[in-house]
Amino acid sequence: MTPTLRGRWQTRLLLLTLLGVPLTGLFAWAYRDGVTPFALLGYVLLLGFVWDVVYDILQTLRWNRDWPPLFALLSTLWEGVFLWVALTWLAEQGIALPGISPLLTAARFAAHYLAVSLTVWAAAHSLLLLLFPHWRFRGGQWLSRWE
Amino acid sequence: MLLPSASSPAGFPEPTGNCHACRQSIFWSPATCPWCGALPPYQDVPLDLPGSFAQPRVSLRHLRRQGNPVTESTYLALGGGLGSFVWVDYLRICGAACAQIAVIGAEAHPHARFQRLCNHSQISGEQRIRSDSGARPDNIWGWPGYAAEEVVGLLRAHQWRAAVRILWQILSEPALAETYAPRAQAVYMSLEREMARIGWQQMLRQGRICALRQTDDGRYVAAYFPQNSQSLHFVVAPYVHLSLGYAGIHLTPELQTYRHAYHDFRLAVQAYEQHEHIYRQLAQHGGVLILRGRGIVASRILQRLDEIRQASGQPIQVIHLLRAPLTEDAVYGWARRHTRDHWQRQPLNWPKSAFGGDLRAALEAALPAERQTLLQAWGGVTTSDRRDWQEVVERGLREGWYTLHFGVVEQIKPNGRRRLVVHLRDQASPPASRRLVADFLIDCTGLNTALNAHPILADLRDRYRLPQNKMGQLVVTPDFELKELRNGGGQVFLAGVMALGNAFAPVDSFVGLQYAAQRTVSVLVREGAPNLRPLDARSSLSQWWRWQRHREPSP
Repeated sequence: MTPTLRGRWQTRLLLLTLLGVPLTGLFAWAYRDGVTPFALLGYVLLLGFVWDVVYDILQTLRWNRDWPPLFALLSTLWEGVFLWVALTWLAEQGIALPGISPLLTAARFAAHYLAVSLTVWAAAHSLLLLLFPHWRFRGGQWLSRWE
Repeated sequence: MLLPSASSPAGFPEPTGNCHACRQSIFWSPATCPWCGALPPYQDVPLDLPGSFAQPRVSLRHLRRQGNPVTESTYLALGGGLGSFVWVDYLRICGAACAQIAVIGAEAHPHARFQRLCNHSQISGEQRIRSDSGARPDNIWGWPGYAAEEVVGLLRAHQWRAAVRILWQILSEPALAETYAPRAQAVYMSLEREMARIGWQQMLRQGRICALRQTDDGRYVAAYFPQNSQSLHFVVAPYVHLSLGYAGIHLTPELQTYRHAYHDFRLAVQAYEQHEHIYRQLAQHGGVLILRGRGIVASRILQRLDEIRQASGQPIQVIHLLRAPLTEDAVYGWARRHTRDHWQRQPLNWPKSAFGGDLRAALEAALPAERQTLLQAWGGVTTSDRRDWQEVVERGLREGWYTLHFGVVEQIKPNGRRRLVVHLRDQASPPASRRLVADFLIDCTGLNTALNAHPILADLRDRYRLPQNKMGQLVVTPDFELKELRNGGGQVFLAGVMALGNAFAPVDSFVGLQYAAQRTVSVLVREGAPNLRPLDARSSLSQWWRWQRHREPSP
């Protein structure tokens, strides 16, 4: 699937809701913290909408205007690193993001983030093709159908 | 071998028939008409269509009175090739029963023509075709792709390194690795499997399609000759899908002139014709060969010549004859497609985004008048971005057995010693004439998409005054409908290469056929066509699960 900007946004929203929420629920239970994992998921989603604009511009530099699965994997890892660095930098500045516990450790963040993002990445290259046959022809848009 | 004249076939077998396009006698059973390149079924049969077919609307009452067999169907696919197959597959998955679908086509297998053209152009079952892993005409979801199946096979055979290489390809293609391409045999085998699953043989009526007309009750009637029959049959249906493929192979005017003048079909051939004798002779005696064209067929034939050259040790010289040098990169927006050694390379015949990304959306949103400009910017003659093909060109140029020549072919003549003389005019100012002498010429200039060469579509255009787009093909809506042919509740759709120049670029690809099928079936579902249901998430998943277990689609 070669994503368009709308397709990226819709796919991100769907997969983080469909798979990200239940997986985050598991981590909330395991960490005995019902707020931080869900807040993190929200930040990933909101920041992701912005990252998608950047990726969409980068795509236009490529002749095929595509986004290979490896790029998707590397970009999701980059987003995780960026979020963690931003969180720790803000904490050092004395700014606490709403919903983020000061006890959040790098290991807990990494486990939660990798579980969600890798599941989402795998589903974007398999499950969505099976659920929405029009998804691959509409650049990742699953909400709208052919008019 | 020089063959005797077509008009005086002394000592030659009886003609097997006349070509339907050029009307000339055919004396053996080639895969294409040797005179004009028309694809089969090229034999002209006595065509005695009923008088009512002269009218734009056929009266069914009159037609039935004439005594020829008339049958009815709900969905009618005309062509019987891969385009028809993909549409019928979609209909079956969306709920249509076998009894509601009729397919008329010349061949028993939907991939028969594709396979024959591949074989002739040196793409045997073991070779890889220029197609994506997820472009599976047997699988509307495109998952799992051919690559995943090949990886599983390699892992079972403990070929770890090859499996890892393919995994890396599908992860990083085309940016960091060569694009994965399936073997032709994998495509044929998967098609055979899906044919059995959806009951293709039950729906297929083998025969030659003659004409399509509107009926006076809001449907359509197709006239056809069943195989081995000289009596005309008719099928009436409200929903018709036309996917008739190419009209023929492209025989250049100078090659046609040469054949008519000298009746030789062995020294100068089109790459899609059977021409194994050339490789046999070159392997035994070596020789000089002129290659024309810069697409994937030219690349593959150059590779085959290199294989023969290395295996036999014979001196084989390849003259690559191109109309003009090509040194400029193709540019679109901020991106460019690089040109190297006068070849342009890209993984597929259009940028990947034209299959489903922003370029697909841009083309559909463009005004019809702008589409040709976009198509020219993205398309053109390109070859696969394969390292082994690049290596052959680079090594050939370095070692001197492969040379590039530029010029327009003016005439091809025999030199009297079983060799060819090709007269060229170069593009210098003033133009100078040159000549090349060679043992063989292989023309890789492609297939014929001219609407005029397509008897059924040209007849429809003339009969119903159908508009043509800037590329000379029939105008279809983004849903692939021939809107001017709408007849009450009845609809006709056109898919495949003959829908080029409209709102979707890669019409003659496996994915393009699936895209067309999805768009047309979506329209039919919306219009409330019998037995079709929308493929929502739940039914899509359940139908895929049936596909996975090789179970017939559920009704």
